Amino acid sequence: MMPLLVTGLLTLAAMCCLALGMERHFHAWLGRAATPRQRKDLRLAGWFLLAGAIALSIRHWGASIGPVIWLGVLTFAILGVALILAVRGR
Amino acid sequence: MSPLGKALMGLHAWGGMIFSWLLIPVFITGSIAVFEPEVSQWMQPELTAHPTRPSNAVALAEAHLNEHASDQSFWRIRLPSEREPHIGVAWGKNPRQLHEETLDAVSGEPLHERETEGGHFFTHFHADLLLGAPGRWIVGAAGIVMLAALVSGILIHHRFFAEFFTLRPRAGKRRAWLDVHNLTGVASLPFLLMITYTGCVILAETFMPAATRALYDGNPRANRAEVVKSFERKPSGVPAGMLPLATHLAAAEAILGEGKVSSLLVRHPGDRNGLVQAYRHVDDRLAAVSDHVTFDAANGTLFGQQTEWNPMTYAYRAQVGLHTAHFGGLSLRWLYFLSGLLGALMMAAGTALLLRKRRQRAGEDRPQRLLDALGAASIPGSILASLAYLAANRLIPAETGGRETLEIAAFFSVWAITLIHALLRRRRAWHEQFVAASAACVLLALADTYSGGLVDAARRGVDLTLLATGALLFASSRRFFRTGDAT
Repeated sequence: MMPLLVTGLLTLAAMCCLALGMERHFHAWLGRAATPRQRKDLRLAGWFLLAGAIALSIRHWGASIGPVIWLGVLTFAILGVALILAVRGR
Repeated sequence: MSPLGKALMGLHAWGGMIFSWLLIPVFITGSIAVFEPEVSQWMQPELTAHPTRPSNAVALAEAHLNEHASDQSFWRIRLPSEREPHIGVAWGKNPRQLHEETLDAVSGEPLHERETEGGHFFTHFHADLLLGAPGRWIVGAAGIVMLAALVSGILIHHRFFAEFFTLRPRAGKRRAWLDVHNLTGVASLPFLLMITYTGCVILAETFMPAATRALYDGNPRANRAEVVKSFERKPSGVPAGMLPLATHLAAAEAILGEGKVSSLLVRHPGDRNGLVQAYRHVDDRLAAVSDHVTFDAANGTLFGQQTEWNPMTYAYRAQVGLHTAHFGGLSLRWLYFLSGLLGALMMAAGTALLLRKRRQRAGEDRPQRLLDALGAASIPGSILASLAYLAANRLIPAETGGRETLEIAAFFSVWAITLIHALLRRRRAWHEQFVAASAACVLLALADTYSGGLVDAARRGVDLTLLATGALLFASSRRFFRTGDAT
């Protein structure tokens, strides 16, 4: 369960960064506009975290099963971010 | 919208909704089927769960078979595993029609569990609606429409990336349903494409039999026999003693890996030409291929083994493995279970959208009422039918003859009742059926907990899942169907 949790948290963090890298969501979440530089950095951080999560799951589950589990985790990371945004965006 | 967009929209909306009446129950039962052994354990409280060593289990099974089946041509032993912690033994003259029994893993006593299809019913319904080949045709056709609906859905979703994380539950009903439809669809898209595609691949043999006809005279077994080596020989008629099965098991583990043997098949026990075949688990590999070794039963020499397969077999069985999810352990099973239910939610939201749009244009006319009723029967109705199957398992006394047929009858009669109810109660039916399903979940969980469900890990898991499902169904019934305004 532990590797799943770590992969899940990494992917969730990555998706948070990617969502905050979008103008609309940044504003909805933090209540202010992001500078283009901030958005670019967030997107970059998001992709790095995502790569880290894939690497971790391949390391733990192997090259054939790892990507399958990571894609499954990705689904719920996206939903998690959408739920956070829905609650924050009230 | 361009003419092509309009055409795709029509295909996506109407094709999607009409086939969703079948696809939603197929997705729900498929999700439950991921936990087939756990559901079977829940449905057979007589089954015990004691940890044991494979060699002990094999010795117990062998003693039972020697006592009850010494004159039979085939013995099969399923070793206890983490998910099925009891011994399965089977015997008979015909390997396809064996008499089966379940034994306690520690005492070796028969458990006399109740007759039921158990969790396998959900797998069976998911695969062919219990109709055999015609059912596989229907499910296969629905799968192909699902693929078309997924692809057309991606094409007509203009703001795929712009609305990637967007969910506005407090917006207007249309907006909220569209967000749910888009978000669940986009988030679970890799899973949905994979599961639908692999499902079609598994069924391809049924609806595209041309290759088998041309190459194997229409006999799919001939195709399989070319890939899966079989090591058999005729019985000699000369009796001979066998080495203990535990010895054969140890030899098999030396080749297949320690603790990796899932089952043993003994051909012609007690004959000089007897053979013992051991099959390997598939739960640690993506491609669902089961390596196997065969030994001479009397002296233990290696008679044959297959631990390497041709690349096409790996390629094909990897798709079967991806669909059936025996690899990847508990984490992956939960991901599949939840992703499958997300798929059902995505289709349900799409149905709600189309029903709402049509009602605004056409009002409460007769076709609208029928479409509404079919939607209710497929979404809360199929959930209620599945719960009725579980409830029947507890309500029908354990010793009733033919009770497994009665349980299945409960599934289909409650499903029919939900359709009639939806036709009579119109749009109020949605809310009422969601509340009924939520109450049934909680009642089943409580009934099982108070009848000893706490002692067994699998039953505890099913009970907790039922409770969580009940809470979610109740929340959604309040959130979306409070005023009887389903869509």
